[in-house]
Amino acid sequence: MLGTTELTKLIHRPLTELEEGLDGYMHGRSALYMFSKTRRESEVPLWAQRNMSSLYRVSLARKGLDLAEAVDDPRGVPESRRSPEWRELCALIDAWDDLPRWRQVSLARALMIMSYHRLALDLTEKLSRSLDPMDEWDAQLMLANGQCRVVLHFEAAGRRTAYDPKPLSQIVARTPTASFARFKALNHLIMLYAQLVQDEAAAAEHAAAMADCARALAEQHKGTAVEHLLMSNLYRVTSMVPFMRQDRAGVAAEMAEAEAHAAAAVEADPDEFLATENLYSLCETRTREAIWIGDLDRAEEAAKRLIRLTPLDSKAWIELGEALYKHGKLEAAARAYITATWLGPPGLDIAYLMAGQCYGALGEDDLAKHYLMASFAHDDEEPSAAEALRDISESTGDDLVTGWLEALQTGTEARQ
Amino acid sequence: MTHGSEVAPTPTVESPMLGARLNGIYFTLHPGPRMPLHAYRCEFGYRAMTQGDLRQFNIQRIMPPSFRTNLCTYARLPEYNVANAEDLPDALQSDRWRELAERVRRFRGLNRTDQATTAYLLGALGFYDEVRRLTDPDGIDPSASEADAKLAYYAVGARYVLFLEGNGDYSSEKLRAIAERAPPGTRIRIDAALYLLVQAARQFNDLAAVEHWAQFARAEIDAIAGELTPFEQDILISRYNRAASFEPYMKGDVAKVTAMMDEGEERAKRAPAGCREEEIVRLENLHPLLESRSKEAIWKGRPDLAEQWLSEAIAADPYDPKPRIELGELLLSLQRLEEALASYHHAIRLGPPGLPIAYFMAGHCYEQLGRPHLAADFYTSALSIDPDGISPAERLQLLSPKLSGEFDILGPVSERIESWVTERLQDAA
Repeated sequence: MLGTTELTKLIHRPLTELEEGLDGYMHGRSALYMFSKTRRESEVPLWAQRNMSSLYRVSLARKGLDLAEAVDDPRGVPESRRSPEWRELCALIDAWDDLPRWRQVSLARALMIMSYHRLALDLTEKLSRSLDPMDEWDAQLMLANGQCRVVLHFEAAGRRTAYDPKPLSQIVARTPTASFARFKALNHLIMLYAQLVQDEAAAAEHAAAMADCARALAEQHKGTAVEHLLMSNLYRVTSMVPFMRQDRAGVAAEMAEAEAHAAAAVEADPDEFLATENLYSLCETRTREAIWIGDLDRAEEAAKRLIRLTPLDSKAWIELGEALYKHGKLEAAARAYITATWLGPPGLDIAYLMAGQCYGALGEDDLAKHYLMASFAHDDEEPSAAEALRDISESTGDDLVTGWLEALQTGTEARQ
Repeated sequence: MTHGSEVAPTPTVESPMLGARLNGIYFTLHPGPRMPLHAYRCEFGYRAMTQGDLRQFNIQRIMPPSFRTNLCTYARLPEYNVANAEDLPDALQSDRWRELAERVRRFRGLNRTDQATTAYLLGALGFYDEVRRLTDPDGIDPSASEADAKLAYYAVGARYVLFLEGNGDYSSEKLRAIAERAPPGTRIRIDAALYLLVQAARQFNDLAAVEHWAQFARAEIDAIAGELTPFEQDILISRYNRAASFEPYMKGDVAKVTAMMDEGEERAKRAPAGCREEEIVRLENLHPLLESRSKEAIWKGRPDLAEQWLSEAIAADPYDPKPRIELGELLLSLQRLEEALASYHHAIRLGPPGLPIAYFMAGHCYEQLGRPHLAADFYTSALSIDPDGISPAERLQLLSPKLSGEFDILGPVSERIESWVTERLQDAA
């Protein structure tokens, strides 16, 4: 359970101190990479793709890391506990109004990857009226603002309410074809239309626009890693359209293109972090794709490939757990989920929940209850663990746990 | 069994852990609808403090100082892990807690009775360091009054439990003074004598002292027997027999141990409780007696009886993990691994005290069952509650290379775990 707090601390150091952590955690590397971008103007405004919940820091605190003061704002860390890099970050935030546009963009991106979405939204919001989408850096700030809105909206609403895509649509409508901001705005809109709104026609329309945009940008960066990164990203995202049509062959073809370009990007520039990170994202998507197609051997292999790239990333172990679970390899799946819990967020509640589900399916009721209670302890607002725990406690006649859950649910314990 | 169906509403403890609910009184000073018997020490202590009554119902079990810290860690409520009761942030203080904090602030100006009851409650809640800070056994004359003797007893008792966890010094001389010099006819003389008896047996293996204090306590009980109700007599003699059976035990006299424990058990069971509080006192006295009987049975090579007595102890105090851990140990010694595991799992669900042991032993069972991944997980859980635990760290160190065998890709994780526990063990050394 919490025993590996020290391990979690070391792994997540890039996100809590902006210092090197243990090698093997992609998100930590992404945070350091993005912070480095605040120091020097990027020629190409492409950013780390990895996305993280704005609740990620809350999750780290629940794992036992002492970040109470810095959950919402890095400046909450007392001066005496700030690393030199953290001080630099705080100074940049304080100086926001005076920063050049490129630096504002890099800082907003760094904050977003560190799960300070609210702060990034507040900072970019101050500029919203003065931004010109025809300028790449201004458009990037509009994009950061729009993305923060998406993240915060869905986390607040629990993905049950419609999202207004207008801020992102405005970027698409008002930016030139060969704009990186436009490219990423289209990326996010396709995901929204495919996963949330489930509007196939809108997703397809935006996919076509994204292809035009990608080709125009790729033309400007021909023969470089950037060209392949753009194309890999394009195919990975546009595979959502055949996915919506349940066209398995279409998805596989798009993903094969995405993978070929991902490999080509690494080959073109092996030192380019974004190429490595893109390969990681691609492996993640390929795992899910294989699960969806039902090729569970391939899913398992893809998840293992992901772990080899980033062995200390809990999310990668959760992917493996899912592949094994779907394959009916319940004991092995449970072990993968438990490994995820040793490494810390993200996904701790899911990892515990799924370990509990695996053991429940195996008829190991004590272990099932143990991990379901751990999941509940980690996130007591997520109802899945409590529901599963209630089922298993009732079926095993465990009045202690059943009574406790009832008391929690109804709030009547005090009146009993 | 549900204790306390008539109690007042309990302020909510914001913890997602089952054991935090059961032990909610340690956070709020309000009893919950279900709680382990040791928690009634806080409830009765609160009543004694507010009623200025030194002779409130007594709960014998004294929780170790680490209990409070472990409970707060386990419950994810570090804000409650304060050094002094009055340091608890205002927003977290219940009405009852505020009363206690107020008395602590005025401690020096309180009369002896109020000082004694306040010290008792502080100790019950685990604030032994605070009792030590507030009291000076050298400055209290136990012969002055029963209240002085009780305050001296709680002052010495706090120092003793801290000493047991390696925190500070302890001398039994002060306790001896209470036993010998407290006003004649007061029960605190018996409490001190029995405490000295148990210390002499457990800590110092001093048979002469055990004999002396057994004789002393018996004489004191006989002297006040006429003033006791049948319930009080049964409980007191039951307590006496359990403690004094150390004497024949140390002499290897099996028959005498059995006879004393038989009488102790009989009296503990038959004590005619006249109210709910007396029933709690009866069960709380029965619980350790049954645990002692199970040890006696193991000593006599009768694991079947040990199991029976531990099952009775569990029935007497279903929300206390301790007898479940002891049952697990017994079943493990009988190679009934799966049943032992079930007992440890139940103990884990109940929370502290003994949680690191329950986790560690469950890990040990899984290791024995050839499930290293689960073993490693339970060892890490033990370390999460007790970061200084050596045994789980050592087991984890030995186990981590074996984890890689489960998945060929686990190597980097198991290497990290191994280096983490190795560093931890080096620091501890």
